[in-house]
Amino acid sequence: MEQNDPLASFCRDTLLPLYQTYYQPEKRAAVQVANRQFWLMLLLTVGAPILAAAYFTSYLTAFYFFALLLCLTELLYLSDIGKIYGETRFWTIGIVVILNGLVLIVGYINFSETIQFSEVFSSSEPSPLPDLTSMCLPWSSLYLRSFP
Amino acid sequence: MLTLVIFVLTLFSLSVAYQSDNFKNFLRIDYKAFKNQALELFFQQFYPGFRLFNGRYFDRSTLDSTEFFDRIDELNEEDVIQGSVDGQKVIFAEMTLVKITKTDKQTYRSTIFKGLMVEMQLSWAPAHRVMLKKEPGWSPLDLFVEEGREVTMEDTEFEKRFQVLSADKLEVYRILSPQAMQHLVALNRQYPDMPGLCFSANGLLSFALPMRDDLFEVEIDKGMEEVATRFAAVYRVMQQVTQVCGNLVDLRVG
Repeated sequence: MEQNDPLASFCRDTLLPLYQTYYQPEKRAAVQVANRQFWLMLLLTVGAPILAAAYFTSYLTAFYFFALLLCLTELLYLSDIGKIYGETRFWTIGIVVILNGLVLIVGYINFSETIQFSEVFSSSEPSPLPDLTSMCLPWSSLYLRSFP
Repeated sequence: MLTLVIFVLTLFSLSVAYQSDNFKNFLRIDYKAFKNQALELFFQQFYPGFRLFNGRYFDRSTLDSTEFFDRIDELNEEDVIQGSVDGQKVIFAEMTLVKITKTDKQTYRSTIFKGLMVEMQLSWAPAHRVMLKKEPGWSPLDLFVEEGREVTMEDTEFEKRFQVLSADKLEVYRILSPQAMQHLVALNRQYPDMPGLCFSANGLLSFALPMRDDLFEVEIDKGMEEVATRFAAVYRVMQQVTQVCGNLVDLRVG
């Protein structure tokens, strides 16, 4: 039936290839993957300190874990966008490397003191949040350290 | 404090990386180029000789000197297409005509016509404009009307369907022979929505075909099925236009 319909065969043989040239379905799928990678990185930036603090005993080990995961996802992201554009995106790589280098240096200086989590709440003053869950505690403890 | 700096720096680096890639721009589709190219291929395959016309349907310089904008307030013409049917030059455009009514409190916009305006160059020209209106009231053909009197025709079937207006009664009888009237009645039966016809003194025959949807709005983001549906509509309309024009070319005056 479709073979006899000139319009259907026009759509299939002529219009569809043109449509795909403009719509770029493969590139769109790749961009979706790269976008997912990006949101993963963002999630990691926010979630890694919680996870790290929950499973590691020292800030430095937690920070190493966080940095390792972050670098890994960033590498995946950069390789993804390299594939999409078919070229090396020096600007993006440069920005990511420079800023993350700063993050690593500052983080290392900050966390290289060996402080245990237990020490954060071991002061003589009672904790203002005594009923926090075990997941919230490490998170708050990690960031509470930032403030005097 | 330093932890906070790390957190902010990381977020910043990620957002800068994301912005610098600018996927949205990278994947931006040139809708117009797609539409033009697709229509060009369509015409090549089905209606060779037809093409998108790079210009306007109505010549604005002449419009300003007429009463055109007393009759309507807004004219949107899109996708002007040019071609020929049986050797006669045909030009048509998708058109929306809007009348704006202002009251103290509100402004009302009413679409008085949405569809195709078609113009065909005939091999002959009447001495005076002859207008065939299907029913009293506004139609896009009113844009062409000059002062004329109603001419009574003998064919009752024709008289029921059309109101004939012209300044020259004899010219009407010359153009609308009994055969021509039968021909137009048959055409009206086939296309009851057609508001009428206008034979202009410069040899142009104008008519309108109302349509509900935007015809040539081929949007790529809606998917291939939507594109195919639009082209099916374009195909139908092209068949209608060429058929009506083909019928009207037969309406020759000796």
